Amino acid sequence: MKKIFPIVLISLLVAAAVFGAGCTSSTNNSSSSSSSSTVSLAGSTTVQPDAQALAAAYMANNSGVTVNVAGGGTAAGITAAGTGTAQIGMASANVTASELAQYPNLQSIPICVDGIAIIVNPQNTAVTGLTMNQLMNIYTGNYSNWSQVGGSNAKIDVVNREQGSGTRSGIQSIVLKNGNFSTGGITQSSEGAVKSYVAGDANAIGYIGVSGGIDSSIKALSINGVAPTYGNIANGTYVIQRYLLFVTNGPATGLAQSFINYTLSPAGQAILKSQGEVSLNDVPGYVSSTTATTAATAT
Amino acid sequence: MVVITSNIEVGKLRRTRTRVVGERFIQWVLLVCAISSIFAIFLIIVFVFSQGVPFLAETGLSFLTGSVWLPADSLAAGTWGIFPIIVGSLIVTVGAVAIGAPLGIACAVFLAEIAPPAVRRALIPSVNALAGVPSVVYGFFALLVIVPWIRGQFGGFGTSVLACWIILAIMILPTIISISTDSVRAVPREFKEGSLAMGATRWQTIRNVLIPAASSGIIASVILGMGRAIGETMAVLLVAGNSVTIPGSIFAPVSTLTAQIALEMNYATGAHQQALFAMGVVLFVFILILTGLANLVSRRRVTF
Repeated sequence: MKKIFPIVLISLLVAAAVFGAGCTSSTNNSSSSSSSSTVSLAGSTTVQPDAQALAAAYMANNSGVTVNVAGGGTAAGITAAGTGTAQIGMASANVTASELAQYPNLQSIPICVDGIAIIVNPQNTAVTGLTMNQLMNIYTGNYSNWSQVGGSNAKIDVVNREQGSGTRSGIQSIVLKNGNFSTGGITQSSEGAVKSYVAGDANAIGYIGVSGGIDSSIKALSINGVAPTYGNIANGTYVIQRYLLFVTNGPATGLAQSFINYTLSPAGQAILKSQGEVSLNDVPGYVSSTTATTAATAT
Repeated sequence: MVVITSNIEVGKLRRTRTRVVGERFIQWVLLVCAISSIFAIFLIIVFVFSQGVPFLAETGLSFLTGSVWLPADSLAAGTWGIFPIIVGSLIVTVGAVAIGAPLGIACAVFLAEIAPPAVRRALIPSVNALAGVPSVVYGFFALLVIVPWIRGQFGGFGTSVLACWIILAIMILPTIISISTDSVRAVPREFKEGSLAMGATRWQTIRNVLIPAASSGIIASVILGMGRAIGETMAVLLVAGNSVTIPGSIFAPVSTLTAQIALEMNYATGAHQQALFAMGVVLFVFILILTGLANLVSRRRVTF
């Protein structure tokens, strides 16, 4: 008993210290971070390069302010906004009903329009475009050979994004009409990973945001005869497109509000345009506003 | 009766008492450190099991035997079957050990018995450097070099079982080599001298006397390497392809427990998050079995 007592006492003290350290209040984050001079964004890897360009310009104009941009995917970004881990969540798909049920005060602010490009390797010269039906069959696994869509006799290597990706949700709702992807493809966890994979595999097909950079290492396909050009996305004839969103928990305040206003201003929209996104001002009939709108369900 | 009258002797007693108290204090400090580390692993196990076991209880055995993995935020909306993922983890581990263990043991024997001192001086730092490379760097290297090579030679995605085998075998080599070298070196000299004195050649001595004598340490090193292979996350995430299907060939993509957790944990909420913890429980059970085996085997002493 005499030898066990000090061991038990020390164990209890260590346990108390460990548990005490773990009990932190989770409501401190949002109030403390908005009063300091940092703005934190997290979420979609599609929006990430745009946000980084905006951040660089914003920091150049506002000395003493730091803007931090992190990735993680759309769902992670929305969760970060809801829990207060990040002041602004970046999303490339609308907030879903279940996310809204979990964080009822989420508000979405569209910042631009982004087309989703269907990319293949430049060595795949026979295929320059697909119909929406062919694309759906490729992603559901019904077509497994390029010869079925006019290409050479080779297996189609399908590259998907992970489930939390807003780009993947966009493809699922627009191309698959909310059907399921086949399990035959591989999964890569970011836009950059998809792009570098497709650039290395002659038989690959993948999807990235148009702003991801359609350079010489990959080739973008026309869908239903419409190429993913700026004009076609702006006037809506290239149908695989979605709004990119900044998501906040409740109306944005302080520096976060200032950053969002900068994004929606002509200077911010010009930066987004230089990144390859379609500015909201170029979308016919779009009523731009600086007030947030609550997105109710996924389209 | 002993009466202490001398001042020197009384002084010595006082210093002895202080020394004893100082000793006890040091012992207590070391005890706290040891208990903290035990506490850490205990807390991890408790947390993972408390999150994962309720989920396992709700889904039952179909979690381990089902083949369709379609997670959702609520239990009813998703399909929870991780059998292909478990198979993926096992295939990747067994193959990595099958490639890495013979290479590692051969290298260990070479280092312990055959290598001239100059070669040994060059090889041992290289093996230690292998151990220091971060796993994400291994994965990146494999993605840029091994995956395109496989795709060019054998077709298919390139991100495949074979890519995982190659890179994991390289990653477990330092573990196997260092522990096996120490085991072979620890065999008493009399064994080797006796065998050579009886006329056996060097190779016969190594094969029939030294390796069997060091077998408990060698087997323990292989099991530890197996533990590293089954727990490797970042390298596998980059080169496995992450396709939740049972691979049809070694050139087909595969998904492992660790890579699937890393892929989805960023955004998983609700039942999905608990499902990931349940996968963590399965992983934990595998690793606990393996390390328990390693402890058991390494305690055996081969006697002649």
